[in-house]
Amino acid sequence: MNENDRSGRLQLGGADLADEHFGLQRIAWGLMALLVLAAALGLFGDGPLANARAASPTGDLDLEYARVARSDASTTLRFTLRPGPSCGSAAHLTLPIEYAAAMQVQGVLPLPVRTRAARGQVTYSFEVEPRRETTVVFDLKPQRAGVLRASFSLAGGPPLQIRQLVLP
Amino acid sequence: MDAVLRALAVYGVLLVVFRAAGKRSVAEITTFDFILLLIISEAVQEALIDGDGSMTNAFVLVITLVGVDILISVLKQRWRWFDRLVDGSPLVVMADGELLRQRMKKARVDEADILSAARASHGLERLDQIKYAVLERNGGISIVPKQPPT
Repeated sequence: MNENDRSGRLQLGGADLADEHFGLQRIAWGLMALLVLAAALGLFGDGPLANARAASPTGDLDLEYARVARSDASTTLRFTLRPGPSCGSAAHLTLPIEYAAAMQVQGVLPLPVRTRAARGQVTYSFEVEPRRETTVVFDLKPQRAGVLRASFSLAGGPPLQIRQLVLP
Repeated sequence: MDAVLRALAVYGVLLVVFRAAGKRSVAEITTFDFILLLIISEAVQEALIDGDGSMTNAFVLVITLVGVDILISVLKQRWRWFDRLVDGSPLVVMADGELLRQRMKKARVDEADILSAARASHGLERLDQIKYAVLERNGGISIVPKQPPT
């Protein structure tokens, strides 16, 4: 006799659904394992798959950022500035003000010597050593979920464009 | 990735700590134990979330914790030694009407606990009515009463 038929005269509401339920349960376990693996790899942010790099066409600006970020969780933008000889000891990094508001800038390191907002852009000015690479880190806390597009530029140079997905 | 690692670390530490604390702490929960559990959950919550208040983080944590729990249950079913390692084994603390005091001391069980379980499960009044008392894996004490003379 099949094990499944061994209920005798015991009245079990919905017992015939048990096998189906176990099958679905195994499928759910598989999906959960895939989700945990995807999360560990950074598909939902904070992992190798989420990390991205971008560079401006002229190479004066590099950016390491999270392709996938999470709303209300810290993320960073790590810029490498390579100002040209004409820039002197000041580097001016420009961000769209809409992006800065959506991502809520929590801190900037090193501290900018000046911040200026004009024409939908916010410009951070940093004191740098002429013709030397400088790293600037922005700590951000995204305020809303969705796809964000932004373009950054150094001293009005060609823009570096990125797209970020912010998960809820 | 951090969320998965945090969840695994917290699960592992809690498993070891609660296993080391022994069965009694879970089974016979006092008011203070309950408060302690609340404090532990608060402390662990901070470590798990780590300032990431997003829904995605919460879902990842839940799926990881439930997933590792399922994995452990599957491993327990597959390997008996692993089952014993995680959940322990039942421990006989009274056999043939005789209290096994060394075991009782190690398991932090006293006569009052056995009598309490005997009263609750079988309405027994005295130790001499008990044949076996077993400290089960879930921390409860099960009682096998002596058969009344026929």
